[in-house]
Amino acid sequence: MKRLLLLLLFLLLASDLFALIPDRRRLFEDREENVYMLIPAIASLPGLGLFAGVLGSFSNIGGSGIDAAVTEANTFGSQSDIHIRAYALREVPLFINGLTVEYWFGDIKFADFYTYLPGRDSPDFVIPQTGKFKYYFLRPAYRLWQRRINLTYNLVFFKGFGVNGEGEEALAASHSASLDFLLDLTDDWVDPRRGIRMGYSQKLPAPTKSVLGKNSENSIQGYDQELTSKSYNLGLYIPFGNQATLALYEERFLTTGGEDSGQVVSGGSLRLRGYPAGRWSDRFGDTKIAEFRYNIPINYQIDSIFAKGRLDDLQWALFYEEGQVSPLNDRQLKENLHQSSGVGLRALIDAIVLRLDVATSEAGFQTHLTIDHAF
Amino acid sequence: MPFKKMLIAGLLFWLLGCGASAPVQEEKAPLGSGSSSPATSSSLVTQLITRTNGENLGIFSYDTQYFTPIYLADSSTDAAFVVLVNVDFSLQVTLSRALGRPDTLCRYLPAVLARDQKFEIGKAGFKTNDLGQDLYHTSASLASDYRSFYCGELAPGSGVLITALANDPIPLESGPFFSLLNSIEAFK
Repeated sequence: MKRLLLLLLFLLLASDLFALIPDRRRLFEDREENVYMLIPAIASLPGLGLFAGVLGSFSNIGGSGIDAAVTEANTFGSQSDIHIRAYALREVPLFINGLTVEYWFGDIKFADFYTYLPGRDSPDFVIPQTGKFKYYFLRPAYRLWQRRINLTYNLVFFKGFGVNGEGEEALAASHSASLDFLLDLTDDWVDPRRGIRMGYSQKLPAPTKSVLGKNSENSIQGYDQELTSKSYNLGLYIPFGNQATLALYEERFLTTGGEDSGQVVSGGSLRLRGYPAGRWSDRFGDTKIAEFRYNIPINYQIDSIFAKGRLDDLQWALFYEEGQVSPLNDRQLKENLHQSSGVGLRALIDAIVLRLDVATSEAGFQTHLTIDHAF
Repeated sequence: MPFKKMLIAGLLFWLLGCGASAPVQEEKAPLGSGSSSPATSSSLVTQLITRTNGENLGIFSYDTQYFTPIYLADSSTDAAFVVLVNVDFSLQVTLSRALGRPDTLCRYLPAVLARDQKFEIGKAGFKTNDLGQDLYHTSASLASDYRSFYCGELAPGSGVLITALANDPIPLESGPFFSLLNSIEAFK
């Protein structure tokens, strides 16, 4: 009887709860055709040499709904040998309405790639490595209810090149897989200004072979398969007037299994923009972000070789972030938090967000020039 | 035209190289010969450094008047070539096979000591020995536990790791230890 009353109460409140879900400001299907931007740049990085590169994003190509992205950067000169090539095809429609597939390919080589040890007490002491790998990513996605419900399966095939016992270059290839669920109750899937967004991700057992490739015999998957990794995230977007939004975000990751080995496990890393990528990682982690976004309406049609599309807004942002990692899911996650803060400038060109963030922390300054919001 | 201004601002940031994690800026320096005492004797033993398939990578020699070998590799598949001790100075030196680039291994080892046992990491950098062999050097210490790491690449992807442990920093600068370091030479 009690359950029946609860069900009745839920049904009575459901219509009110649904009324709280904001309408979409635009529909994915109504995106402008052939919007693109190409950001060419030359950068001189100390110790690495002179880079030339391009970052490109293309939306709704020929009205097909398909998106594409390209990143290409190379060093020239003899100081070092670095190249980055990454290509992506996104939103490729399949036979069922709402079902799409995404494919990425990356071919990356770093002569000097600086990493940090995993662990809460990881010292501020970088470990240089030569990174050479190929990266294949296949992601079928099923999206419903104007993309408010998203279910995606992520299959990654990673081919890395290391050194074997004879000092010769050896190939190690392996798969990894995960499942993502996103409930997006906001007013826009690209630039949300009101509403709530919840995400969940879980690592899944990976196949040993797929359409992307086959695991090498020396692939180290035994210990990795013992680990269970999950992550949760929650985004809250609160409007202030017509032009400002306070965006709050929290992300937690947790990894269990293999505790008896005593190894320090990296189950994920903090998303603090003021630190180098992957600076803080461990079994458990918690990141909290507060970001204030202020939009300046522009409504300017860009038609140049670098970009094509309607520049709807320029967006300024101020953000503060904190987080901590821990080998245990205990109060250590709330102690001695790492902090980062910064400013951002974003160009909202139809369904493309070009984001430039500059963040600072005790580790110095970091700059992010990329596509899409951080959350 | 705001878009152009934004684009120019973005390019300027990238051109200025903001955001790149600072590479390790290190210059090579001569290894030197350590401290003058004790002096190296003429009782030297030379040993080969090999790949696991037996192919020779290089050689080194050590002073038997100063070091006592407590382990000698009896096959090319052994990970360690030799373990030497000097009882007077509580010094232990191990030469073992190393794979990959030398600065990776010799920065990884003290980083693990710092993370797991709270060691303090000392200066790091490439040192060139008397025979022209580059050795990447790092050090770490905790109370009376002093450690030095030297890594040398003798052929692409293969080389040697020398770890030295002592309860005082002085033996890590001793003449016979530096004589060993200066004797490391790659097969041409």
